[in-house]
Amino acid sequence: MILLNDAQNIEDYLENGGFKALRRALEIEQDEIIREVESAGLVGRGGAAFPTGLKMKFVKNEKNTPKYVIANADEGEPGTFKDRALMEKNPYQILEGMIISAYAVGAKKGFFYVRYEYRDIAENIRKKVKELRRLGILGENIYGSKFSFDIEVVLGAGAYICGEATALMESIEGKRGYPRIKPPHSTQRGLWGKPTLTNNVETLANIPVIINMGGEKYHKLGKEGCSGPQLFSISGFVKKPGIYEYILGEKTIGEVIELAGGVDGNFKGVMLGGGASGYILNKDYLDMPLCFSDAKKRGVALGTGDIIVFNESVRIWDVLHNIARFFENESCGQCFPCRYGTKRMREIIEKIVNGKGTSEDIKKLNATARAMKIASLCPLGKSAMTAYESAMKNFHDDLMEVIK
Amino acid sequence: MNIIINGEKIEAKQGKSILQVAKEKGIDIPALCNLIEEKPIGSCGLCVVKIKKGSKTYYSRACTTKIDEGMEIETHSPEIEDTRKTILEMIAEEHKEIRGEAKELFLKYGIELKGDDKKAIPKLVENPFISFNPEACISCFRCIQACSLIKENHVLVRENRGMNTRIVAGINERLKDAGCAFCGACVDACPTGALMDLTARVEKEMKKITSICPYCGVGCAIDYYVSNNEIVYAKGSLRGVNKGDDCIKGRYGWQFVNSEERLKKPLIKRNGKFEEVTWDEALDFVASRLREIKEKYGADSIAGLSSAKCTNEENYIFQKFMRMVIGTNNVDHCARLCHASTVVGLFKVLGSGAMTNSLNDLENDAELYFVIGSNTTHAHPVIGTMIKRAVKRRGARLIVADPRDIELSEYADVHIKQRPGTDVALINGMMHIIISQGLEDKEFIENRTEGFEKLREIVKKYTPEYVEKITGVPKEEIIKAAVLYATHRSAIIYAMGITQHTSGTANVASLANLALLTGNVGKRGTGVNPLRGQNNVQGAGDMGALPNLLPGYAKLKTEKARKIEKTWGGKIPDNEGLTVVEMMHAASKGMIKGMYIMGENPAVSDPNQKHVIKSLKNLEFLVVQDLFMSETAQLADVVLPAASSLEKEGTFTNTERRVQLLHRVVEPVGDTKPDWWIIQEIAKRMGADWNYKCPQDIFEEIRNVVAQYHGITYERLENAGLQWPCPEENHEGTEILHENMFPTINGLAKFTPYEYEAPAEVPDEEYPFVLTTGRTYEHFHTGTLTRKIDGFNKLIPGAFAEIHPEDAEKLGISDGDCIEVESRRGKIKVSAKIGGIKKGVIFIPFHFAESAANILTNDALDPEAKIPELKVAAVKLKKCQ
Amino acid sequence: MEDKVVEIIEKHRKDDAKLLAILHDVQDKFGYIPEDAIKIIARELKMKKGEIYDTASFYSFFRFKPEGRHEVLVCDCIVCHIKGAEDIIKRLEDEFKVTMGETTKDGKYTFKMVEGLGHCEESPVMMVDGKLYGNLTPDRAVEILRRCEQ
Repeated sequence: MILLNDAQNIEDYLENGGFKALRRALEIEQDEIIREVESAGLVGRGGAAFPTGLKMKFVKNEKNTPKYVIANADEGEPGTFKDRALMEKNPYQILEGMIISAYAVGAKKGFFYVRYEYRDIAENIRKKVKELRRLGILGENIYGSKFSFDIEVVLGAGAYICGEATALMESIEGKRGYPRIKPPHSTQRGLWGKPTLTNNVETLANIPVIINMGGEKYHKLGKEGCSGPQLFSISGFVKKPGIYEYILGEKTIGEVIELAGGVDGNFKGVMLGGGASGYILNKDYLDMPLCFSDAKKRGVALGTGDIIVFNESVRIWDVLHNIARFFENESCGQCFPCRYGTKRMREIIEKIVNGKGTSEDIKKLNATARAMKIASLCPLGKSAMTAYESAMKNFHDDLMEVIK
Repeated sequence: MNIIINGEKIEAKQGKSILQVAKEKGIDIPALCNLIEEKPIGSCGLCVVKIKKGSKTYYSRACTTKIDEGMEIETHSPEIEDTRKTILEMIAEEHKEIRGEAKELFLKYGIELKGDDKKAIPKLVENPFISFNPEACISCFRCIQACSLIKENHVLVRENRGMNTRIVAGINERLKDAGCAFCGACVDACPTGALMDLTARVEKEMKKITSICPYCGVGCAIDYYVSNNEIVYAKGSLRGVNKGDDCIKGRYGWQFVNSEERLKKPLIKRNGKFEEVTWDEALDFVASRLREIKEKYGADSIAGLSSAKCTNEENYIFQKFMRMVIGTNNVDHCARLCHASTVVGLFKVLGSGAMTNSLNDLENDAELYFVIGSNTTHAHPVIGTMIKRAVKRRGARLIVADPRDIELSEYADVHIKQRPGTDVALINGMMHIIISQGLEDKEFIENRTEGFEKLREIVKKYTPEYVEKITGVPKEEIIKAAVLYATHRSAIIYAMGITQHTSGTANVASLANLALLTGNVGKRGTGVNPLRGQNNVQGAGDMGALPNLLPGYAKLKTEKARKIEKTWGGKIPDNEGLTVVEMMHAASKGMIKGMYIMGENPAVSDPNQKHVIKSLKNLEFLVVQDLFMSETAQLADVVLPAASSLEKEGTFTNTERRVQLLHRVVEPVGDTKPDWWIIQEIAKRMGADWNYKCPQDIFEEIRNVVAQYHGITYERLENAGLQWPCPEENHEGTEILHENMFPTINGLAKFTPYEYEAPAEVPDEEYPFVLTTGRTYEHFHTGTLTRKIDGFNKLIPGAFAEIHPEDAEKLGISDGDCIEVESRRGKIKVSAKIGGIKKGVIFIPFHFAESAANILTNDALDPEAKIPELKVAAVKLKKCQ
Repeated sequence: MEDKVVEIIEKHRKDDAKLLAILHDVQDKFGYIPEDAIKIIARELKMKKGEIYDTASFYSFFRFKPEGRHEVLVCDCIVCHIKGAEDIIKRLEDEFKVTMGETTKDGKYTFKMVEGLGHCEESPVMMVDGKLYGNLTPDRAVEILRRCEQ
C-alpha cells in the first residue's frame, strides 16, 4: 500500500520513512519538484482530474505574493469517504505533501479545510499541526532551511458547495460559499486575491511518494492515461464495503466489486464517479478498467473514485429523487438556473416517483437539464443532471416504464 | 479588438464585457441581476451567450465575459433562447406578482406568472417608507448590490441558501434596527417591484422636475416625480453634486409639503387668538406696525432674522429691506448659530470664510479625511457616503475626532474621543508633533504663509503628555493621527462640533493652521472644509444677511459699501447691528421692540430657550413668516404663510459655494406666497419703490452687487450650477480656493495660533456631566419640517439622551428609562439611550420642542464670532420620579 | 455574554480564517449563535452585523435559536437511502413524535436529516453529538437513543 498505510502517530510515520521526502525536497530547486510531479503524471483526486504539476507551475510562476496553499478535505459527495479514511489512518503523509507543495510554489501559509461532519478529524489534524510545529517540521525555518510555513485548520459548517475550490476560498475568507466567477483562476487570484494552490488531500498524499520514488518511476505505476495509486470508496450492496487502494488502470469495475466481497443480492447497476454528480451505469460497464482515459472513452468519469453498487431492490427513480433533493438542499442559490432548476428537478421527479409522471414531465426535465448545463455558474449546477442523463441512457426502458 | 456578434464584425475596446458591447450595438440581451457593469455578479444567467474561440465552443455569461480577439458570439441562437425561456418559466412557477422591468421580460417571452406559494414576510417590511412584496422578490441581489457596493451600507443581506435564499435586513430585523439609511438605492435597483417607495403609484402622466433638496448644505439635486400637482415620489438626481445619491430627507423629506398643518392663510392675533385675514389686511397691518415702532423708538429698535432656508434672492431683499426700508443693520440669521466662527476664523487665516475645496475633488483625490466635530453620515449623509466609499473602495485613510461613536468611526484608522471643548489643545498637540518630527511642509510655509514662528512658539508647550491630560485622549492616538495627517494628501472636514463653542473661532483657525502647516491647502483633495448645516447658509451669508457685513462680505463704511449704496440709491446705516443672541438679550431688556422673523425658529434653535421665549414675549410686535405654526410663530402677532422651496424659484448656494437653481415642483398650497413676494409687498407698503417681478430680477441685481456672483446667470445655472467666485460670464467657476494665492492683502495666509481655553461652563460637583447637542439622521434642525412627516416620527418619536453604559449603571439608568437632565438654566425629561459616547458626556438632539435641548444649553458667546456654546453645557441627571 | 464572546474573538484574533472559527466557538458556548453575539462580533471585527448573518445563515450547521440538548443527525444520502434510511427516519419520527428538523417536546433531542456523513461502509448511519452509529436498523436506532437517555 502506498497511501492507506496505518501511521496514526508520528513515531510510526517516521519509522516508515516519513518526512524523508520533505527533507529531500528542501534540498532541491522548487522547479525540480514541480518537474517531478509533472513527469509523474499525477492528476487531482478531488474529482476534476486536473494535472497537479501544471497547477503548481501556474502558482509558482505568479509574481504576486503572499501565496497560499489549501488542502481540500471538504469531502461531500455522498458515497465518497476515502479522504476521511486517509486522514484517519495516514494524516502525516497529507501534511508532508502539503508542506512540499508549499515549498514548491513559494507559499508561507496553508489552510487545511475540513468539512463540519469530520469535526473530530479536524481536531486531530490540529493536534498534528501543533506537534509538527514543536518538531520544527512546521513554522519558522523548517528542518533548519530558509523555508517557513504554517498551517491553519479551518472547520466548515455544512455546505457541499464549499468543496468547489473558489467557494472554499470564500468560506475561508469568512463569507458565504459562493463559487467565484472565472476567470481569473484561483492559481492567479485565489484567497484574498492572491495566487493559491488548492489540492485534495489524497492528491497531496501522493506528493511525498513521487519525491521518494521519482516522477518517472511513479509514472510507470498504472498504464497509459492514468498513473499512481487511487483510493476507491466501495459502498451500497457489496458484502465488504470500504476503502480499497489500487493502482489506476489495473482493475475493472467488476473486479473491484468482486474484491469487495461481490454483490449483496443480484447486480442491477452502479453509480460511479462521485456520488450525486456521478454516473448511473449498467452491467455493460463492468469490464471498464478504472482509468481516466478508459472512462473518458466511454463518456463517463472516475470523479472521486466511488462505486455505489445497486442490487435488484434499488429503484432508479428513487435514487434520482434522492439526488435531486440533495442538489436542491445544497444548491448555493447564487445563480438562478441552479437555484430554481434543482427545485424543479426534484419536484418533477417526485411527481414521477409518486406514479404521476407524464411524457410532458420528461420533456420538461430535459429542458431543465439543458438550461442548467448551459447557464449554471459552477460545476454543481452543470453536473446536477449527470445522474439523470446517464440513467436515461443506461436504464431507459426501466425509467420510461412508469411514465404515462 | 475585433469580434463577431451574430455574424457582424465589430470593433470594440478591450476590457469591456460582451454585454456592454452588445448594448452599445443595440443588441438586446436580457439581464435581471446586472446592476454595476464593472462588477457583474452573474446570478440570473439570462445573458448567457454562445462563444466560439479557436477550436472551442462554449456558453458563458455576457455580463461576466470580457471580449477577446477573434471571439465569435451568438446572442440569440435557439438553444440560448430556449434556456432563457426555461429560466424565466422556472421563475414564473415561483412568483406571481412580478412587476416593472422584469414583468416586461416575461411578457416578451410569453410566459405567464403562476407562482402561488405564500412566502414568509421578512421583518424588513416593518418600516414607514419602503414596501416589500416577497411574492415579487426573485432574490436577484440587485438591492443588495445597491446597498453594499453602491452605498457601503451593508444593511440588506442574504439569508439562507438555495431556493430559501431571501433578502433580509441585518439579522432579519426591521430596517431601522438594521441601520438602514432609507436612501432608497435598493428601491431604485429592484427590477421586479418587490421593493417600492410606499408613496409610489402608477400614474399615466408623470412629470419629472429636478430641484434642490430643502434640507442640508450638500445641496443635492433631487428628481421629483409629479402628477396632478402632487409629488408621488422622489430620488437623487444623476445630474447633481450628489450624482444620484440621496438620503432619507432628500428622498422622503418632501412629504411636509402636503402636511395638513401647513399654514394656508395670513393670521393676525386678536385677543390672544389667531384669526385668518386677507393678504392685504395682514401686509397693511405689518407695514403700519413696523412704521409705528420705527417712528416711536427708532430704526434700531427693530431686528430681523433672515433665513438660511430661503433663497439667495429672498435673503438679499430681506437684508436690503432691513437696511434700506427699516434702516438698521440688525439683521442676522441662524448661521450665527452654526458657522459664524467659520467665517471669522477662516477669514483670519486664509482670507476667505468658505469651504476651500469641492465635493468632487474631495471624493476623488483626498488620501485622508480628518473628520472632526461632524457626524457626517447623519448630518450630511451624501458626503458621509462619499467618505465611506473612498475608504472602502480606494483605501483612503480616515481620522475621526468625536466624543461619540459615530458611524464613521467604524471606518476610521484612528478614532479620537476628545473631551468636548478641548479641540484647540488637540490640534495644537497635533501641530506640536508634526513640527517636532519635521513633518511640516517647509516650502509651503516659506512661500505661502506668514507668522509661522509665532505658531511654533505657541504650540511648543502642547506636548503629547500635556494634550492627553487636557483632552483625555491617549497620546499614542494623537501621535498616530498627527503623523497620518501630515504624511498624506489630507482634507479636513468639520461641522458644528468645531464651531459651536466659545472657542469656535480658535478651533476653526487652529484647523486652518494645521492645514497650512502641512501644505494641505489650495490643492485637490485637501483643504479646510466646513460642512454647512442648512441648504442655504452659504448663500444667506453671501447675501449679507449679517449685522456687520453687506452682500459679498463687504464691510460697512468702506469703498465697497459706498458702491452698494449707489446701486441701492440710499444710505446704509454705519453702525454694526446685533447678532442673533444679542438681539434676544436686547429684546429682553426692551431695547428691541419689533422683530421680523423669516423662516427661523429661535424659540427652539437658540441656546437658553427660556430666556429666548421671554425675550420674544417681551416684544411689542413680532411678525413671523413660515410654512408652519412653529414654536416661534405661536408667539407672533402676525403670521404670514410662506411657500416652501419646492413651490418656488430662486437659487441656493451649497456648502461648496455652488450656486444652484430651483425649479418649481408644485404650485404653492393654499394662499401661501414666496418669501420674496411678501417682503417686497411689505417694503412697498412702507414706501419703497421696488418692482421685482420674479426672483431672476433680484438675481440680476445680486450679480451686480456681489463680485463673487458676477459671472453667474440663471441660464448658466441650468446644468449643475456654478461655484463662486465666478467673476465673468465666461468663467467656469472655482472648484478649489487659494490655488495660487490667498485673498489677503499680501496674498499670504497667516498662521493665527490660539491658546487652549476651557469652555465657559465645565462640569463640577453639582453638574458633573457635559452635555453636547446635535442632529439625528432622521430629523432636521427644530423639526419644523421633518416632524410633520409621519414616517420620520415613527423612526424617531422623541428626544433621547445618549449616555455611556458605565455612567448609566452608576445612576441606575437602563435603556429607555425616563431621565431628567438639568442645567443651570432649566431641566427637561428625555428617554435614556445607552450607547457609544465618551464617559461623562451625554448627547441630546435639539429637534424636539417638547423636551428641548436648548433649555439646557449655555448662551455664552465666542468673543469674536458671537456664536453660542451649544456644544458644551454642564448638566446633572437622574431617573424621573 | 459580552466577555465570553470577546474572549472567543481574542482567541482567533490572529487567525486569518477567523469568522467561521469564531462562530463555531460561539455556538459551542451558547448552543446557538445569539443575535447579541453577532452584534459583538460585528463590532470587534469592524463588520456590519448583516454581513455576519449573511455568511452564518448560509451554512446548515449554524443555528440561531436554542435547540435540543442532543443533536441527532440521520443520514439519508444515496447509500444510506438504498440501505433503508427512510425506514429509520420514519421509525424515529414515530417514536419521538417529531419530524426531521424538529426538537422533541422535552427539549432533549433535535433531529436533522443530513446527506453524507462520510461513513458509507457502515450505511445506514446516524450521528449523535458527534458520535457515529453504523449498520442501523430502525430498532437499533431507537435503542441507541433510549440507551443514551439513561
